[in-house]
Amino acid sequence: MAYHYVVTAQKPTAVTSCITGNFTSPTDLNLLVAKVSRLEMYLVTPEGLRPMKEVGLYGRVAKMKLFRPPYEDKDLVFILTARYNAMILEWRSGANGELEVVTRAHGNVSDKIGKPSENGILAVIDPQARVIGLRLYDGLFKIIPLDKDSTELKAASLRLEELNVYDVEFLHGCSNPTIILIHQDLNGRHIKTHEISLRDKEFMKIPWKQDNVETEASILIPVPSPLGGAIVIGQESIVYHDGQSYVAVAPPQIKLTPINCYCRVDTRGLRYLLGDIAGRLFMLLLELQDKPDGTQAVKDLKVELLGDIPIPECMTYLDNGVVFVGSRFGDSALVRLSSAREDAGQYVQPMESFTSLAPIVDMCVVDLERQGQNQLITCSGAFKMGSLRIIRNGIGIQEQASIDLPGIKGMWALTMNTAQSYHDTLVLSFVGQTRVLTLNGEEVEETDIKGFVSDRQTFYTGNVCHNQLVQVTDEGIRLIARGASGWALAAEWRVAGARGLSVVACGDSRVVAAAGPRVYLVHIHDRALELKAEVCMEEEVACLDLGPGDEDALLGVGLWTDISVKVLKLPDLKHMHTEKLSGEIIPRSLLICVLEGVCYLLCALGDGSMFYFTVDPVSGVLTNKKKVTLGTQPTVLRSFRSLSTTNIFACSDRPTVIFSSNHKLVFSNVNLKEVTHMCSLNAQAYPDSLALATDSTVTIGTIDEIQKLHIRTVPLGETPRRIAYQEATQTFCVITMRVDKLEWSMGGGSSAVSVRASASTAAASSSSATSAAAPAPHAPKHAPNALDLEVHNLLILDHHTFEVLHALQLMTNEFAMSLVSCKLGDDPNYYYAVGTAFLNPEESEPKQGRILLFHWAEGKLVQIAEKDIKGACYSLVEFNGKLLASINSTVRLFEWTSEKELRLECSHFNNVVALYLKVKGDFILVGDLMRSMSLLQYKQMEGSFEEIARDYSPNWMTAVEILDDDTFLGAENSFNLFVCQKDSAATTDEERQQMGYMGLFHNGDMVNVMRAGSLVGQHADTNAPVTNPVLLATVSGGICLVVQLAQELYEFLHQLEERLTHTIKSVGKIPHSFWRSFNTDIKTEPAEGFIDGDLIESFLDLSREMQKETVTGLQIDDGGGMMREATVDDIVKVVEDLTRIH
Amino acid sequence: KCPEPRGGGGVLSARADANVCARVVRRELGAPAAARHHARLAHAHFAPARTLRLQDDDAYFTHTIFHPTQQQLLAATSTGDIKIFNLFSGTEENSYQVHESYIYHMQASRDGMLLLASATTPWRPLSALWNMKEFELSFQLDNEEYVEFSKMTDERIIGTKGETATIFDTRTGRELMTLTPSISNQYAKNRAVFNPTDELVLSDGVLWDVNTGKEIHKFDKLNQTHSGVFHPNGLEVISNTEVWDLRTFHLLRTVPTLDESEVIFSPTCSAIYAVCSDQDSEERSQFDTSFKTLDPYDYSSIATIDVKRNIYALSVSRYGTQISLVENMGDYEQMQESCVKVYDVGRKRDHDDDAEEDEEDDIAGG
Repeated sequence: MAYHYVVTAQKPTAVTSCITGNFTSPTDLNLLVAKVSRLEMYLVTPEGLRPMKEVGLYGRVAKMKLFRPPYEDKDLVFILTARYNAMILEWRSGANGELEVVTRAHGNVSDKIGKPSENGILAVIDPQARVIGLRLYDGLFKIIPLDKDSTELKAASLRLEELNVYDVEFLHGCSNPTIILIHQDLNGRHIKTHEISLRDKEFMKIPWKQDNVETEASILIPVPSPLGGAIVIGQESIVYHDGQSYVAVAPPQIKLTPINCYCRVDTRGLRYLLGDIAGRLFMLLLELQDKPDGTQAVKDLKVELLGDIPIPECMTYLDNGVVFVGSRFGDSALVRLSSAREDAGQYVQPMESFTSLAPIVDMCVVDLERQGQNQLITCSGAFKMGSLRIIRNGIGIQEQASIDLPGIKGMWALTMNTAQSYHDTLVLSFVGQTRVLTLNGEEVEETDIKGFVSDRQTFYTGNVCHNQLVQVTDEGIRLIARGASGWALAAEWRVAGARGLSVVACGDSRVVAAAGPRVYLVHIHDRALELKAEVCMEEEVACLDLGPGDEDALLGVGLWTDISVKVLKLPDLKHMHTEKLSGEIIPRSLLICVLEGVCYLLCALGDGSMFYFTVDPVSGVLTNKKKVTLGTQPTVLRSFRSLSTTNIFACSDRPTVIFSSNHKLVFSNVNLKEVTHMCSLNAQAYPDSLALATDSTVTIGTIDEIQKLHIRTVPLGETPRRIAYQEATQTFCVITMRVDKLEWSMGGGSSAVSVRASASTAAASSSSATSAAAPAPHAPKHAPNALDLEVHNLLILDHHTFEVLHALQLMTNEFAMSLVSCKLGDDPNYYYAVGTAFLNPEESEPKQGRILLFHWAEGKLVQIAEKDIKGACYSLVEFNGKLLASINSTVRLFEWTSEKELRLECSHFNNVVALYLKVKGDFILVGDLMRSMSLLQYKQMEGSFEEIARDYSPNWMTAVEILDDDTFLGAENSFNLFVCQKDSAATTDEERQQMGYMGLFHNGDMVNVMRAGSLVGQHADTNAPVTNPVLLATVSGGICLVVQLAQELYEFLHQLEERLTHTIKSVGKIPHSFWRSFNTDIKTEPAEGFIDGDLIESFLDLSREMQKETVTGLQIDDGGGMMREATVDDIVKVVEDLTRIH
Repeated sequence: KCPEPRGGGGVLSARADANVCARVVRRELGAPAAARHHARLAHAHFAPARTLRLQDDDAYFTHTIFHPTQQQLLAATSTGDIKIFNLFSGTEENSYQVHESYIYHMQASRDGMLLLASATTPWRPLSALWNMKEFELSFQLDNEEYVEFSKMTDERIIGTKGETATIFDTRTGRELMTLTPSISNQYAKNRAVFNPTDELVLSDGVLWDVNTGKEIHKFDKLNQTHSGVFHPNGLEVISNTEVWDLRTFHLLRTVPTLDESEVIFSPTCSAIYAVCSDQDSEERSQFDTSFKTLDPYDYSSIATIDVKRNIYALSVSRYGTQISLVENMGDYEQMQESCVKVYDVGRKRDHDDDAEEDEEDDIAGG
């Protein structure tokens, strides 16, 4: 058997819908954004958007509309999911002031039979909020009457004569709800209206219609009263029609690319924003004239190009000229419309950008910095928004300056000029000496501070009360104050006895230091030091830290020999609590700090592991003991502030930032090899920075925003399709697609003209692929003026700078489909192999293609080999020193001859279209367009393939991966995941040949690519016993992780999952089991073999009471095989461990 | 005339590319699933996967269906046997004598527990319901020429006897309702069928309301043979070449490809199989040697597949990934060859590939 855990590492980022309204209160202006199956509520403020609440939905949002019933003073939201769950939601502040989402009404509106419309789901709401209209199936229009008290959404079906409907809207100002629609029949497209009788639930009459509107008309915009009527957007024309008269215009600006979304700007409905699929924004204005009867009528329509925006999926006008543009092809944005043109000739100014990885088409997992931690390089975005994204689990430090200084033992930033708040001095301590550096702008020079000892190692220095400095060495404590003649020693406290001080902690007005087993508390007064208390511990003190607070602050002490942590309380150093740490490794660094209102004690040991506890600030009792491994060397813990939150830096060979998110501690790696010491630095030239010491240097740098996944963008300006990494040449190879305009000249010749500068046109060098047997470019019979031409390129990028070193353009109509870096046969060189297809739009399948081999050396890209093939090469893999390719329906193995030619060795034919290949040893996993997965074995002796096993269900694959020798993961195009297993031990051929299902799960997003690996470094070994991680990336920009679990853990989590489905109330009351059930157009089966990690992790977000309620009665293995009742803390630990795998 | 729509220019427009390679490229970027176009690609190619033959030469195959839940194929013979073949090994696992003569139609219940079979005897037609476990007779439906289950569930059976349709209870065999048209249309091959929601029945060219047992509409008779079948979308009735709008009773279109053909929908309704197999006819030429596939969305032709033998029956597997054909050579009295052939849907015939490979080898060798 096989058991799996699937969890989201990066939520989908593609924006599918957005609306503006007063959702959270009658006075709040809100933006609601739908990202596939998540809803994000923002508050619109003068400073920008403020996130308010994010909720997950057990369904993909198909349509999201707002409405305001007459009895409400704020807006409600209607959502319809792709599986026809309808709901009405309200955002409401709960009793504790927390925002909650209330399901006002819900219901499933699907029919058992019916032809789902090819034009997709359409949902509209009557402007007077009397009824919701849905077009789900051809020939039917469903209505849901909106009653105040109804909690059930029930749809009635009306027969709709028009079968092929493109858009539908409700007209404004009608006494009965009246729809207007665009439909197509054999004669063309027409608009038509239908008046609905809510009482009889049927169409009454057709108030008006207009036959033969533009053939490409596909968008209707209803115009508010008193004008009424609707605007029809076509490919070349825009028409306003109100039943009596119409105004039509054909603005030349909109001809080039189709308009695909709009939003209304003013409530009167005279101005609209239109967005087209090239990412251009237009303003549509209705010009009015007075009619003799005193009313107004539309006189003219004006269209003006405003400027460039992200390629929009949806838009919504917020306020004050600010528009939110949601995109599926890259970052969404907030833009401001200005009344005057900006320098760039634009009326549009970008304000804020919202990172989106969508769509992730390909990715590679590499450890570029060789730190044992993977980075993900994704091919993200499309068209002008195409980019590479470098995704790292962890936090980046941007180096600002560095100084070569070996042997640093400690580092502190001081403010010598007390008139200002910036740090201006950096004190560095070494064995036997201390050096002081002055920061003067960006200049650094060595200096002395009078009163400082410089021939000893400093253990601590810092600014303290009364504008004084404190310096602690093994001799004792020195207090330095500023006199008339500058800084001078003001007081000194020397430690008695033979043992010198070894560890110290300092507050603003007190110092705690330890010499051997003795702990001293010294108060700092103006020019005086006073020993307040002194205790002797049982063992020598290894580390200590002073907690927050004044007179009654807590002191944490870590001891040698008995390996324990004690909590003492000031002012008399009273013993409060002792906690034995298991093991024999001495504690090396201890920290007490408050994060998000919770007081933690962290104690790092000499082997790189760390214990942490929550501390009761009054009793000093340590609870919730947890252990985590940070590195392999002694770790130093320091706290620092970034963007007004306190965080912890763990200095070690695996530097880690520890921060609190949702009242959980999150451990995030830092992109540095090792850090021995660090301190916060807020100097004038280096504001909000960190000083970090390694064995040899001090680096000053700024830190990324503290978050778990860090994303860096390399914009390409064209669609990246495939990526491969070649370590030998220190390059990436990326296949891109650029859309050029093909212009046909009078003479019959043609030339492709690139539309805008992008990676392939701006490369350092470029070349074109040629072929001996190139098919003649396919000239269309009736050449239009400008035709979109897709030009495929091969880019070579530097692996550090991501600079495009070379761009190679493929031939006309040649699509690059696959890419691999490979080393073949005895040839010592590494090659990039590219598989292509010549596309003829009239053929159902490509009939020709090529496999090309390139060598990158000395800044030149040399074509080494070319092999003509009879179809599209969908996938290429290096396999036993040979090249394995899937070409149309076949899988073929090519060997690399000594003559440097690709020679066909063997083939396998049992697919419709073999899209994906994965290999392990002699085994080949094939993912088919529609025939699921099959496993082949390569018989080396015979030089042939044998089909070992196959899944006989018709799954339309989008990605496959080998999990282990017998277990295979597949993703298919109805957003499901499944696991198949071959049973080699089965007794009959029949059983052996048939793969069995070991897992079924509805992922809710289409997976484009799967790669073995994880984003978490191997060192960050959590206690979660999970194996064989695979990363999945989706069309919507999400990244998921699938791992294998042991049966015991699976069963335990399954119980927890089951309980959570009862505890957590789903938005829209969609059952969790419905959402995760494997659902395609031929079958629906309950999820099995997968644990929903997102649901499991939501346990940590529950209140303690709800956690308690959830775990009651749950049995847990106590570690020795005995079962006992699980506590909340047990479960929190299990779940926290699981959160650290991604 | 207005220019034709020009593909929207949009790279992700709803209009899908004809070329599968371009569709795969678009799909990665989030283009809507082009299921219809993929289905067209799949239903243009059929590769033989297995051939099943009879042991004795006296009988020949007459009908075949896939087992709804097992990897088995059921094949009926001219001598009234039902043979059960393992689809993996091709071995005959069981054989049951269920009738005494030519079985010309079988249908299994969705759960694979029950089987309806119809046979002609020299003296009278006979249909029966069998328990598939051990092929015990549940009950006989005397004189019913053709029987099938209702569409949403297997709770009811509808039988045809000339112009009369009779609805039976599957559990008890009790007769629930008889539908006889007031004026018969006299179709040669009337087969009464339920509509996809089991609310309507079409029999002898007449549409009935099952709840009231009343006639709703009589379609114009434009052919002699087929009364018609419902399109699974619930909106259309296909009688021979005519497609009627079920709501307006207007003629929607005429599809000449469907002339004289039995119409079978794939389980996902992604393709129509049309096979001309008029078994009542005396003339041999009525058996066609090819079947056709059509797009159920617009009835456009996808492919015509010639198997060079007379096709007696065609059935589609549970998920539509395979089809089986009864392919016979010769005539009733003297059958030369009889087999059931299983084809993989969407896979190209191996010999196409072999040719391609040979050619490639030549290139590689040269």
